Amino acid sequence: MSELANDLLRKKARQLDHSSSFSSETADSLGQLPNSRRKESRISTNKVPDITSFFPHLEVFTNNDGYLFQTYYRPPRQKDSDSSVILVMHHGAGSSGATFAKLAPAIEKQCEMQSISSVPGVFTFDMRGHGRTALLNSSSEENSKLSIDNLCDDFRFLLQWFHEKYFPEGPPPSYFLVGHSLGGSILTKVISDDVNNSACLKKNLGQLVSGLVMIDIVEDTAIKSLSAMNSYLNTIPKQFPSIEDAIRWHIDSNLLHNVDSSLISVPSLFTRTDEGHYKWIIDLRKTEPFWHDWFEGLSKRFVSIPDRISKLLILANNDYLDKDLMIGQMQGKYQLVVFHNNQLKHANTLTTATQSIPSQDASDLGHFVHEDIPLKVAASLVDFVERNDYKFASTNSSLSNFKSQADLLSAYNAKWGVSH
Amino acid sequence: MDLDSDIQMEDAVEQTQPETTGKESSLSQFPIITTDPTTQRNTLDGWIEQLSQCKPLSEESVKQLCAMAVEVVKGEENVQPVQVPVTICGDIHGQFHDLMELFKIGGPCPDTNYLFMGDYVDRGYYSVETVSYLVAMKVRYPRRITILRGNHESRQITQVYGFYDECFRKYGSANVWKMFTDLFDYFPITALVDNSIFCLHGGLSPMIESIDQVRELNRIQEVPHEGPMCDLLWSDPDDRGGWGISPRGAGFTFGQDISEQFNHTNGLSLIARAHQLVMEGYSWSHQDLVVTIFSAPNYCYRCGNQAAIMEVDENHNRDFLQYDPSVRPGEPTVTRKTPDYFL
Repeated sequence: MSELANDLLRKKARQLDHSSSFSSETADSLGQLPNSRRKESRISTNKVPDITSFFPHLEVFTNNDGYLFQTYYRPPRQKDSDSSVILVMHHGAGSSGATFAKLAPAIEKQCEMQSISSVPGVFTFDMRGHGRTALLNSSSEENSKLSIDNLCDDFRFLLQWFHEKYFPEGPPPSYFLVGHSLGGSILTKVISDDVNNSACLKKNLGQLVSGLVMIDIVEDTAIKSLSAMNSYLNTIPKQFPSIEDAIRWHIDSNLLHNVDSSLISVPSLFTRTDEGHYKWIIDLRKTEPFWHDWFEGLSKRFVSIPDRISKLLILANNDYLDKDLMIGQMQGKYQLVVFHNNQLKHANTLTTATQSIPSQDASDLGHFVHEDIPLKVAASLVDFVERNDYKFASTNSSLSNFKSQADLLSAYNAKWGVSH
Repeated sequence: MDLDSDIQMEDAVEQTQPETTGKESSLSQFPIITTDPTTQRNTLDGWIEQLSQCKPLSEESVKQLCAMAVEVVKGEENVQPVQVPVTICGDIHGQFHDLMELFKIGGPCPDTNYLFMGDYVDRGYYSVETVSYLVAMKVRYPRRITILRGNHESRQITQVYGFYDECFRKYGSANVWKMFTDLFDYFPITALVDNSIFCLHGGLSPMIESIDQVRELNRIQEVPHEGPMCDLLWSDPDDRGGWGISPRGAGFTFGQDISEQFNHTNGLSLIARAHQLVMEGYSWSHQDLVVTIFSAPNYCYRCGNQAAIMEVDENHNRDFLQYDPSVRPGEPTVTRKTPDYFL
């Protein structure tokens, strides 16, 4: 019992670090722009770090049709070789792999702050028709084949390719799949099809998937917003005179709220025209035939995935769950994290003290929540991995007798004389 | 109003008299409450009358009500003893009109004894009226109604799922939210009906083998992220045996072997809990060692579930009363914002 108590104390101590890390979010942002001044700030792309400083390994994978995929990889860091975790991230429609550029190092930073010795790796890519992948296949008809089935096939191929290239032998990693928006829907369908044996991941890779995370995607809301999507897309400027103007537009139209992140993510969406303008790589209006199928059935699929694969839904601002997600949440089938503008900053939730209410005008997060508040989203992801990957060597072992949740659980089950 | 019966008045008198006639009770900082218990009853009855029409109290009245309620619930135990007959209820979540329906189905309080297992606020549109009403009834009939704490009776959770916003909308500040969430810290976390039915919001904890260990906890605090108090408010029974990681991200799952051991060790016949939506309003698990009760019909105005309450009579016979959503005029429609919902 005393070990258990010690373990609890240790975890509490970590929580304190954890919550204090929340308030340091703004300090982490290169922008350091108070809300009121953000819009007037000067945007300069002069000192933007290269993408390789976030993802050291840039590889191009070629599928059986000769279609080329740009991939990005930040390897894991671990003490012992049998505990690596890889977060495989899938961006949404109109975005690119660079949307996760700030999140990847934020995960490493969270691990350091929580004294977690094993840092998960991050693998991502530009999906079909998007980012550098689109440019690699320029003028190919394949760029526009964006049906959900094709996108799922692409992911199955990429995961297998990644696994064979980076983990050809030795202990296999645990995979946690993280999808933003449409990416979340694709990953959910991939896992759902694998579990139901309708379309399986090759080489039993499905057995290595421990968790699934969807970032800000709810079927009902997505389907309802489709009717307004064309008129919305028509309001978007077709091109910008400079990348700085493109970034400015993303910030001013409240699509992105973190200048620091936008400096890396926005340039990846544009290509330079002969006239020296910057135009969008993908014209989303042309993807309309696929929209409905992208999202239909998502919520039912997500909640039906068996508990063997842990599930996390991260939402920005609104708790707008549809019926299937609401029932699933109220039955405890997945974890829900809602990042909320008005969230109070509790330095210590273990006391009864409350703090004054901050002003209501905070509006620093939106649909691209992982770009807006990367350190907070990273904290949720690290907690999720630590909680749900039994092998994950979660802590500095000198602090505790328990290295992982598996150890903790078996200690509890042994104490009760039962097995799980 | 018919909920009020003079016969049951001794309840409130017994509880409040010693405190209000004492030299320096904490109530004395609110001058509007006089030392005359009759006046206080009248004040309470007025509040209950107002609340029963789904009209929120003034901020000043909430302040008084919460101060009175702290005095009532802080003296209760972590494992609050409750006598039969009693009607046991699950999640309400701000569905005020359905709560009124519950009292119609189960019989008016104080004629019927009630035990609520938490989650009064969040998600529904009338969290303020719902929790104000239940707390006012608790102060008025402290021995006729028991209100436990759910995982939503927490500062962190209410900021995300609606109660905080609702307080702000209805009172123009977070003061009322603060008064209630400060009060929630004092709510008892479990109840024991006739030493036989263990009632709590969530479920068991691997760190709690005996009910005596619950009695040793310091419950007067915000619901922690981990540990025994967190588990009692967050855990779920599961088909798999033993202890498991909860998909919710807090608490544990516990199997039938755990329920058998816990009920045997503590001489219990049943664990009654809420916390999970069940489509019929109640659901047995672990071969009738655990029952889940959910009392918010058509949860959040979209889930299509029935609600239920469980009556336990003098002879420990159990009866479930199921009910559908109340018909109410002018229910707010669920509006969604889809502003920058980019693909």
